[in-house]
Amino acid sequence: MIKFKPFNLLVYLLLAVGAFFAILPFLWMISTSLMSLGETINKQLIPSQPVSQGVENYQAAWTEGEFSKYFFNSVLITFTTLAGMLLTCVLAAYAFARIQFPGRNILFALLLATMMIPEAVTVIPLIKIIRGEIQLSLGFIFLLLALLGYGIMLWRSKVADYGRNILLGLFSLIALLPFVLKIVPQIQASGFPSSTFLIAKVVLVAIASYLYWQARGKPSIVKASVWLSLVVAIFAIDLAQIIPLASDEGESLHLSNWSMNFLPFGPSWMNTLQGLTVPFMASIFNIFLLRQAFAKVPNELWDAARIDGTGHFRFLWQIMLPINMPVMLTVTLFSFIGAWNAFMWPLLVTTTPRFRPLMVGLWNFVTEAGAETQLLMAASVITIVPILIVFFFTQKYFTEGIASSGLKG
Amino acid sequence: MRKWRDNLTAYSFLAPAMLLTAVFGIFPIGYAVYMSLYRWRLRQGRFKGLDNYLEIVGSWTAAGQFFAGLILLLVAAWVAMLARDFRPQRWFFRLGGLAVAVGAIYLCQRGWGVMMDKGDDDFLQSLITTLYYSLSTVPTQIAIGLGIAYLLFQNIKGKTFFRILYFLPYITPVVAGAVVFRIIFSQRETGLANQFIGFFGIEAQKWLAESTPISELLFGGQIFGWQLEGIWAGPSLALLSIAVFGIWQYAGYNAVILLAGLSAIPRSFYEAAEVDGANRWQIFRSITVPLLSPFIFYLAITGFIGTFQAFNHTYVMRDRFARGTVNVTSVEIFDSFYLQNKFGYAAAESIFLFFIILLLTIANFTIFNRRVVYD
Repeated sequence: MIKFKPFNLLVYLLLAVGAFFAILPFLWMISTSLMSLGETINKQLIPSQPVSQGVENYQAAWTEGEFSKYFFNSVLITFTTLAGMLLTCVLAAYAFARIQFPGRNILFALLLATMMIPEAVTVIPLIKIIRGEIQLSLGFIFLLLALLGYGIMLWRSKVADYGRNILLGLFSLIALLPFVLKIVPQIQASGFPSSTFLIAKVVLVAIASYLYWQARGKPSIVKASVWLSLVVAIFAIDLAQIIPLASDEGESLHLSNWSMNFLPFGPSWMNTLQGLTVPFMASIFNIFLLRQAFAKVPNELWDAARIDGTGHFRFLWQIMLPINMPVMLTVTLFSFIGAWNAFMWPLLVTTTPRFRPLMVGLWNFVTEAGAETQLLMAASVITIVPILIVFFFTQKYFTEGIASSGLKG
Repeated sequence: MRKWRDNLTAYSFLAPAMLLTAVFGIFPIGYAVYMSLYRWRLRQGRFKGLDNYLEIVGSWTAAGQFFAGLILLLVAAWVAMLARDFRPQRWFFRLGGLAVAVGAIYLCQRGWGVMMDKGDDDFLQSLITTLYYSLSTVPTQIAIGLGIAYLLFQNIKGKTFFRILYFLPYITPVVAGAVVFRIIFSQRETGLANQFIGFFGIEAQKWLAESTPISELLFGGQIFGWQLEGIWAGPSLALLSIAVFGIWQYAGYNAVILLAGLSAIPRSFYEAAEVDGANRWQIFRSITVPLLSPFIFYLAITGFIGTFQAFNHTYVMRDRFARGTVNVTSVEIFDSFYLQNKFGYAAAESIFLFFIILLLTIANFTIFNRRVVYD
């Protein structure tokens, strides 16, 4: 039993004022969506014929504004993203949390590091990938492979493990291929490039080589070959980038223009469902959250399951997921909101209404509807309502999820 | 044998996520750096080296001065913090910090002036616009959030109900919310904002279409006879209207996090203070706020970095009559590559933005971390 106190009255008053401002835009939106055009222009806050006018406005937005189509697009995009996201993230989180495998910490650190990069950086290359404009050259792939191998090598510089060294050597052998196949005859034809860029690279590789030779155990043929092939691979790419093979109407054809037509570096993914969903299926934040939860499950369960002859997949499916239902729900909810609210990416990817989601439809409607505020507000209500319904049924998970995950993440 | 099977399972479990991250997360980072070194309109042009970056900053020496000034500013803060550890000589450290800070600000100002002169002033101006935006939203939404959290923490009924209401703005789709605010802050006299200030007898404003700085609207651009110009003139009313949306959206979210923080403070602290006869304000000031400081710190950092990345609502609420005074950096970058098709240049801009965010994060940690009380 709470006693009446004047202080509590003040608390209620302040809370009510705050809540009023928090929901004022919603009230105003709903009220405007029920007005006629004339009423929106007058200084009027309450619609005079809410029911009949409301039906008319919402029908206009739903059919003429094509919001029915956008609505189903949004539903389709959201659920596709969710399904793919849950599958990839649950599997990855399980591997990171429960299985000891070589490279676990490096891969996880790599994932976390990519989280720091702002969206603005990745979105420009991403849109080129989706448009199918990146003719990814073999040279570039080799460069990435070589750098990856080199990074791993330096990271693990104290382990004298020949198996890994041979693997790295294979990596770099692949990287050497373009060098061996195409460039060698050309070297004589064109002078060796001497840009500052190259010098910087030489210095970097020199430092890395020094560290490599310093940190590892006693020298061996394998070690030397790994080092040599990786270094050569790194510079082979430089040659491939700079040396022109032929000239075609002023545009030189570089070796780096060898195109690889595999997805998504080939056909355009513009205006397709996969272009809208696939890039968001591996959410690193979700992998992180799920991993934290999976790691907390006691090991005795796994021991018991293993004695019964259960494999990882069955253990994940039948024990891990049911135990971690609350986290799964939190992750699903946040991803649902994220996918439903996505704007910048769909704006870039959808140039036709075929897969255009609600948010982009609403943005286009801002210019189309022009002065017809009531239609615009009706459309806004249509985009907000699904989120509100989901929220009202699950608000406990939302606030708890934010209060716990927000801080630990 | 078992080991091999385990490894194989792990790698196959990881394969989809790693493949997607490699193609859509890691590859684009490298490719953005690659693009930024080229002249790249619609298609790849000639190799430019760092010239795209030079185009942004105008002159390397000026940029060097500016960033040296920023780093010196950090050093100044650090020196001033040392005063806590060396109590007897604290004035020495404080004065030293102040001297370094003055020099640092001079360097910054000098470098920035040259950069604005020779570099890409649209982009550099967008950084200032973003800074205005951050400074007007983050502290305000934390303060309001703190107030709400404090009120919700009291022993009252209907907490859940209020919590739901306050949380609504956060889960509202940004675009839909921004469209509604676009109409609320329209320049029509019948717009909700104009009706609201009309209620207090203030004449109608142009809000989102107003490019005039706020200082000029409020007191003619002068304080005690000083003409406020350039950076000191402050944000435009249009930017502040957008900031209102940001505050509206995040205040409730901040409240939920701070409420979790409040619940973590042990009851015994309050009881001890009450026994000592402290009043509500004293308890709030000396117990609640210091023990909440890790949460406030977290909200400040994420909020600050978030504003440097925020795009959607500014893009939707942007009015052409605001004439670029609302172009925050992310919008400016988007314009560069989407409207002007300057891909290489936009990539350079985005990497520049990344380094600024990195610097801000480091600064936040060095300055605030020492003032935060972790249990």
